[in-house]
Amino acid sequence: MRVKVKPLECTGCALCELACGYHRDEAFSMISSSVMLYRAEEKKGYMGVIVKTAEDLFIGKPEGAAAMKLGELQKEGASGGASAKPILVREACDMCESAGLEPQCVAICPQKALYLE
Amino acid sequence: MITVRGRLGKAARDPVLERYRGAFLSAGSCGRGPVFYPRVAIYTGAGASHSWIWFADLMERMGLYDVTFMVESDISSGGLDAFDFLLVGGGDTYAMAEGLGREGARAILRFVGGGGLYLGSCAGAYLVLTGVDLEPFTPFNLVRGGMLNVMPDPPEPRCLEHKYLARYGEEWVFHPVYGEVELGPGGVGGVPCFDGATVRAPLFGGPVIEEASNDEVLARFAGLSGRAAFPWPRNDALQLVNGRAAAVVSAFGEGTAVVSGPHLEHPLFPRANALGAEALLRHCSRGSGWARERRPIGRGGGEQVDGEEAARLVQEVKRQVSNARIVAFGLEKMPVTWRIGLKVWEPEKVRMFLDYAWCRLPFVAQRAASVHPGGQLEHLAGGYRAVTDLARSLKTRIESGEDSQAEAESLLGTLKELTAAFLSVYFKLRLEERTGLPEKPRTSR
Amino acid sequence: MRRNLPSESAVPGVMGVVMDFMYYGDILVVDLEAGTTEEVEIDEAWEAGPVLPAALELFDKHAQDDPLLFGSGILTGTTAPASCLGFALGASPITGGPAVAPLNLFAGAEMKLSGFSMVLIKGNSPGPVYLWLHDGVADLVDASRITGKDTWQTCDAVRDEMGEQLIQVISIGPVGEAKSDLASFSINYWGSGDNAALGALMGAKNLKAVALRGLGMIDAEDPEEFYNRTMGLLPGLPSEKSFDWAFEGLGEGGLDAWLGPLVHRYRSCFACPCACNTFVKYNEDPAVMGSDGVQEPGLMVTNPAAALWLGQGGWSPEGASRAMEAMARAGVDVVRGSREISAEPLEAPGEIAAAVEALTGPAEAAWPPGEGPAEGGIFGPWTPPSSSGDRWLEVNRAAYVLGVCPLFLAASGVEREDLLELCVPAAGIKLDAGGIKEMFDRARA
Repeated sequence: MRVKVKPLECTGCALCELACGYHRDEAFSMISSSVMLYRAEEKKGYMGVIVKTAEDLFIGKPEGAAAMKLGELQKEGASGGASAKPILVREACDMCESAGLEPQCVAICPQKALYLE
Repeated sequence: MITVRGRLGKAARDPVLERYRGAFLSAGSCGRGPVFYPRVAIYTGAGASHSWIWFADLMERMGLYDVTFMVESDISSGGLDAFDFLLVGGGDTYAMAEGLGREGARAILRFVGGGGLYLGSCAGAYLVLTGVDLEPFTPFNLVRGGMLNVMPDPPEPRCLEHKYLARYGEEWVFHPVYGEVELGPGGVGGVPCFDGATVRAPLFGGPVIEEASNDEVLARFAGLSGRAAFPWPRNDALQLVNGRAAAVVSAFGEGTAVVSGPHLEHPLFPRANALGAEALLRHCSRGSGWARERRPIGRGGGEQVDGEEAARLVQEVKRQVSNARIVAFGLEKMPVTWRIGLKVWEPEKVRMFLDYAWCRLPFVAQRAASVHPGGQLEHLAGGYRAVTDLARSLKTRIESGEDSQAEAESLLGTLKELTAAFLSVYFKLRLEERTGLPEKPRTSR
Repeated sequence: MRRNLPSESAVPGVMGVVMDFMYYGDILVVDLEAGTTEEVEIDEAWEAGPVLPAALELFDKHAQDDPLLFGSGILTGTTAPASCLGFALGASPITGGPAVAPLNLFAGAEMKLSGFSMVLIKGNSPGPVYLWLHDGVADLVDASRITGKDTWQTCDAVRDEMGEQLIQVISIGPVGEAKSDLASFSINYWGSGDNAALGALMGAKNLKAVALRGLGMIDAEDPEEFYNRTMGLLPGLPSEKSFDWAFEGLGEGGLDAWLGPLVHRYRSCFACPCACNTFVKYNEDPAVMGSDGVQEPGLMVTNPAAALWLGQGGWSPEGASRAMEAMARAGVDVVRGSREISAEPLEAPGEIAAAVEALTGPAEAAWPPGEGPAEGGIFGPWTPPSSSGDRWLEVNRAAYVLGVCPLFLAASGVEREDLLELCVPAAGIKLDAGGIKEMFDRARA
């Protein structure tokens, strides 16, 4: 069981990041969450969601969603282009197990763009 | 102590560390006469990655403010002589050994042999484990034990290919598990943080130690956590590490060497921090160890300079650290890593350096207005301005698909130096706050 | 009991800026004429903090300096539903009186995270500048390089200069620089709800843009209670995509059906369960999901009122979208601009550009009949009227104090009392509708 993403359902509200940030810090921020909204290409309307786990990233891009093991495909010293994946060392998703809750990003997503499988 | 919010603040306030806060200020003075305190050196030189900052953070949480950051030349030129602890964190062990060289190795051995304490985690542990007779590590043989995560032909990993292996002579050091592990007590009895339970600590490529017969085991691996990546199948990893030494204490001359595979200094693991603190305190209690110089906390004469100018400079530092953090945050989701020596650096580590300065800026602002730390603020302001420029330039290169290795090396190198400089100012101000007046200029023994 | 996972980049959360519950720092006063910034404490009499009524009082107090204020609401930037709202407040060149424009999308949240509870900008700058607010630092940056640029170019230039694409940029285009009554500020690339020509006020001040970014952390007084209550509201909330859930449609099939052939995706403002913003593509196939195609594939339609004007005028969705893009770029109020050109539908991009260009000269006040400022004169008609004037006024007052989108508040069916009650765990503030009215009455007294 893990958190997955239906990227085209996402509307980019960032509530998932806020909920995850709250789970970690008991305050509201979007800088330390395991689930991350990618919204850096605003002019193109391009947006995706990344979920970091201990061993991989689940990357929900508008073109498709897939898990990628950490260490795969990263290109050292240069951008790998739009299809390449970041290597994130931030804290991994623990499914909110440590808080004794259901995954809060899934619970808070109004569009059901995040789900468990 | 700084007011840290969020998860690190919570960890920092964990009562398990309480017994160690202030303990060093009186241990050894037996309550008579002036209060003494240990002087701490943290290695930030060649090969050191970023985890040395965790040591600085831990020292602060333990109330130890006499902290100095040393590069390889400081050590090889005898800079350790006036210190009590040398702390060496993670990084690229080869680069550390080569940077320090035989002179550095001799200085470290002389330091420990003369009664100092060496605490090394991860690369800092590999550096001084005896292991096999392999250059450039041979001169550093300080701890008699070896390592078990070495073999000529390790199996292919399930994940984390980029962090799984490092060349070790004709063999390979490999990492069967990467992340949180459970530690249980070793032969060292009465360690309060265990208290009938295991202690969790992060293992980010550190050694699984094969202890020598006369080493004391401070902690043994006692299980794995779900909060880790498993390059080896979980059961195979468990079989390799379980029951093995994770941290050992080794007497050397008059001093002590403590090495740990897991990062006992990681700021999110207060009970692991307490394990490290316990090792330091026990060394101090040996009598021959700490505060050899019996240096009292004293009064000193510092220069009082223009508070407005100091405030302006601190504001400029704040401005540039903020600018650089904002760029660094944007770097984090970029599909790039840099291999510097044997160490893989991810973009997130740029912000990590900056955050440690950022969270301490309010205190610096408060104190620097009344006690201007000389030209250091000018250096910091200019340095962080350069960091902002470097970070922006690095990001532009990545976005345009150009090679960014040189910019990354420059940025990370500058950040390492600058963070040490910032923390030097910070600890100096902390020490002054404690003593009530600026500290006397330091002289070597 | 919360626990955290190990990370190689463990860093403190966010520190360095002192923040009361829900707000950072002090009020920033920017004197454009002198080129200085200063922080002042908020009058403690404002128990609800630096929200819109407090800004109105400051507006009156500094009336001789032609003030322009930016701020946020109590709940802005949290898990409270639709807590995206911030505000701009200034004297409308159209009415001569104070007028409020919403900061929605991510600008309201970023306003709060920028490190200032409120910003008061007074006087006029001798040369073009933009204001860069980041983590409690305020910088006036020379904007001569971007003078004359449209809002898209300005947004790109500011983000490139500062090195981060997530910076929120409130900017004016050539129309604002010309101080036209049709001017409006844009938020990043998109048309805003500034129907009061605050963009012209920015032009008069030589203030090309306000750029916002912060890596802060918003604290609640009782975070767990606050969070649980916001989670408890979720089941009853709408989660509609598109405009039609909130507005009467555009004839048969509605506004969404009209835009349908161009629709690429729907977008929410920060923390909003609904997605009232529609990204349309007309420079490439709307079905193209990757980012490797054209650099500027289309527009985010953020003003349903504008789309309604054009749709009702017989424009094709593509022609209308191109017109709205041209207006957003030039910094023309897309609602009033659309009304002006609605009667003569155009298709050819050149003709559309010319029609929008023709709008950029001095213009008569152009509040659409029946949609002028609501009673009280401060809330503009940035969306089609969705209720009576009195109710709209009441909704807006609550919305701006709370920092929750007024559209959402009016159309979602969420109980306003439920949101007002969130202010207790958020900031220890008890509020009801009567209390909010009193705050506005007091501010204008």
